[in-house]
Amino acid sequence: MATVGALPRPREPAGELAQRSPVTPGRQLRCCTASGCRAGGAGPLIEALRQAQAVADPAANGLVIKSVGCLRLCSRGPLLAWDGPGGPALFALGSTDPGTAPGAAIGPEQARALVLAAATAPGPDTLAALDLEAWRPQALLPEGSPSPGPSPVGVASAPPPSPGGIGLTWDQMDLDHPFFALQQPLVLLHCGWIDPDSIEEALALGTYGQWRRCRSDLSPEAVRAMVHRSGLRGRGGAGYPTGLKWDTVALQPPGPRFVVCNADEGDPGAFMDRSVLEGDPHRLLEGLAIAAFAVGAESGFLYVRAEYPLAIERLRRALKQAHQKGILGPGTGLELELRVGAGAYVCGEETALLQSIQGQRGQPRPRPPYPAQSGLWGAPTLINNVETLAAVPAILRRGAEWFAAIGTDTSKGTKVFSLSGAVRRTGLVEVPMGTSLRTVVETMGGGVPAAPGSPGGGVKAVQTGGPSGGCIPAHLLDTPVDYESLQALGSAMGSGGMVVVGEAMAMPELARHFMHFSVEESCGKCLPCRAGTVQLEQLLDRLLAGLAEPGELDQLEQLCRMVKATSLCGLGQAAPNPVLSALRHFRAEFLAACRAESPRAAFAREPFPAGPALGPLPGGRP
Amino acid sequence: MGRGEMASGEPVPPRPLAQAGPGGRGADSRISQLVADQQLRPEGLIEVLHRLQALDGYLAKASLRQVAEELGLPLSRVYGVASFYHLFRLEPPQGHRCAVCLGSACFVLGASRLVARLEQRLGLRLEPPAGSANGPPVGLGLARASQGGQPAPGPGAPPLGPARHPGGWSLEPVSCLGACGQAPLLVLDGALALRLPIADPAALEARLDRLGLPRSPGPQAPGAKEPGAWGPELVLAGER
Repeated sequence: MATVGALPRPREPAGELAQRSPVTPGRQLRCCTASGCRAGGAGPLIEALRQAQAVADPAANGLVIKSVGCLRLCSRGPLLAWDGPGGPALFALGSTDPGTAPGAAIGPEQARALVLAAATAPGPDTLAALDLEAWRPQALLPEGSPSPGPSPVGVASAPPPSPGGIGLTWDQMDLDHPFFALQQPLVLLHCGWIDPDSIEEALALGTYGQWRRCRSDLSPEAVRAMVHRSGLRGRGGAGYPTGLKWDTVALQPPGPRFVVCNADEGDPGAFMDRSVLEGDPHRLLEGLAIAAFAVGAESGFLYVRAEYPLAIERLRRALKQAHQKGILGPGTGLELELRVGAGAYVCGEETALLQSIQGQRGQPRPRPPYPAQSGLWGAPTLINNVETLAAVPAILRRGAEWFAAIGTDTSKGTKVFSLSGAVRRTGLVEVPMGTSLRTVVETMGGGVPAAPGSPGGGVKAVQTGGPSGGCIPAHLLDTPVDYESLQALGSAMGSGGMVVVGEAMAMPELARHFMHFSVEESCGKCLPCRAGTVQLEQLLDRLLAGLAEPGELDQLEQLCRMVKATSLCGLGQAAPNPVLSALRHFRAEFLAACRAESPRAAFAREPFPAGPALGPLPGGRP
Repeated sequence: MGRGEMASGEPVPPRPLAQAGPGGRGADSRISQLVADQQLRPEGLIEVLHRLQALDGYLAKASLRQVAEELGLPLSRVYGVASFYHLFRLEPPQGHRCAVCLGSACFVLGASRLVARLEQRLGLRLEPPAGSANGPPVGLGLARASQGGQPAPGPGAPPLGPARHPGGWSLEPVSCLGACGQAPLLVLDGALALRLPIADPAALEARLDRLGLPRSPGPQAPGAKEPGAWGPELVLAGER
């Protein structure tokens, strides 16, 4: 099969691939400018490359330099993918000083050398052999190296580059490595390939084709039936069957209805949705448009969290372009509007999100009625997560049966995970449902590097589902990733954040971290969550201060169950999960953190205990 | 309720909330424009507040009052929304902001030790985000954390309370920015500092020095910024 990408090669029938003409023929450098690589200086890097091209030899003119979405291996960013003879190939720019963003440290001569090499290299190996150090700013050029040419980029005339002393590394990434080879891009099919700011590139790859097909050839019922048959389930965490949700909204009494895309990806350690928004916004818009068609909605909203400025910018631009092309907006039967959150995690909860869209405090309300019956301004409202909607165009294009053939019996299709934490290779992976955690974390992610000075190393646990999920201990890593298996272990699929925990982390500490998060983010509406999470955090504080007695673990567990059972919304109901799962799988650590004996026993043994042996009463902060 | 017509000849008793915005003027035409941009729709409130904060750096009381009047909403509703969301600030921002990411990826890589160091250097406790709706300002108490066997700072721990740094620094948490691949990280005045070497205290101190963070609590001009940090793109919506 022809290699399609520097990335996860889409495992598609060759026919399909052959029909798809390359977006930009010839040689190109695709620079990842998503948030991860941007943090590594991708912005200044692409700027430097473009400037270098402008003044370089005409030989470099044939090279296309473009900005693309996530190239997956975030830990090595900034990443550059190269297309050319023998390509594609993927390269990582690094700096010898870990504190310096490599992309910002590149000198003009180095950028020029890179552009020339990319424009002329007969194959990836030649490009990989590029020695950026030879072109280091203010460094003497080694004997015999190519002359800078008649119009040098101005090493001498440029102001002395402050990062002049920083060495750069240039490494080729092995695309046959399991990290890339085991990926099966479906939602992320075009992410990393197209310029997210160009609707032409999206259109060239067939985006909006299914939206057009819906309006010309398909009935809403047929679309819903397809989504039904595909077995797609909500990717936001709860895993509710998408087809069922669509039916519920569509079958409400006649009247206006709305569609909403939930892009309030608040779980710490989760950045899947951000990558879709930043890498392929038009696919999401198409998915949302198809959803609107299927349920009969004429207007919709995209609710994006404010912490994703780049995603907001790209989505705004994508929306504008789609309007200009007449694909969305007036005359197409669908008006979409972007709403920006303001930093409230609870707004990821659907009823709170609806409140926020209406300009209110983002506080949830009891369900039923579900938003599908009564949502925005009382009208039936369909709310779907980014990844759910981004999967829809693929289902329509390839067929429900094709989608349903991927994954497990109950969890169909692929799932995008963001791999982060103590793992060696962090980044974005899209794998079929049912892939084992071990495959993702160890085979693809490379496990946890041994810390200097610590004998162990290796994975201790994997945290899935963020503050509403739990941790899965290393000995259960063979668990397949699907909704039911993770739930059975007391964790949750959540939205797809996977934070790998190394041996150095104490699990009670991690449990307290998540509980603190829930304390901060509780909206305060219902008592169990508002006060219960505070009490839980205080119990954990006592434990970590060495003041708790073993009996208090039962108290902790009881309170967890109470908060879980009685809270109003998903935030409170799931807030105890990290504690419960840590207690379940790592109880020994909690016991070890307790005091050895009760104050009473200590008192009996030694009538006048010295100093602060008696801690504060339970419930008081230590 | 009056529309803040302070310009009339009548001596108007000074009402704190009806005073003009940060510029000290009467009804602020910029705010009227922001409200008009939302077609006077109450559901545009959050967007108005975002833009207002982008202009002023925070949401002044007088500005909130004007927004309420022009959107036809009770002030309680506007204030309720402004105080609910973490990203809205109701106080003028400090000169320098040091925001620590406490997302799970950063935490797993030792962000709590980083917080302890920053608290000591700045003499500040980590404040909960502005507008935090919940209960007492518990602080994070992370200085007490004993992760990885690190001893709690003990007597060296900074004083409690809303101390102000004389050099105009503030220390606050920031929710996960999704740059988890480069964890652990800080945001200093809108620029990211990446992959902080928490495991190596000496290297960490050196990095913090280079970032211009004062070494001890006290008035001190920030030093030269580290080159190459990813700049304005990261400035969150609603910040300058």
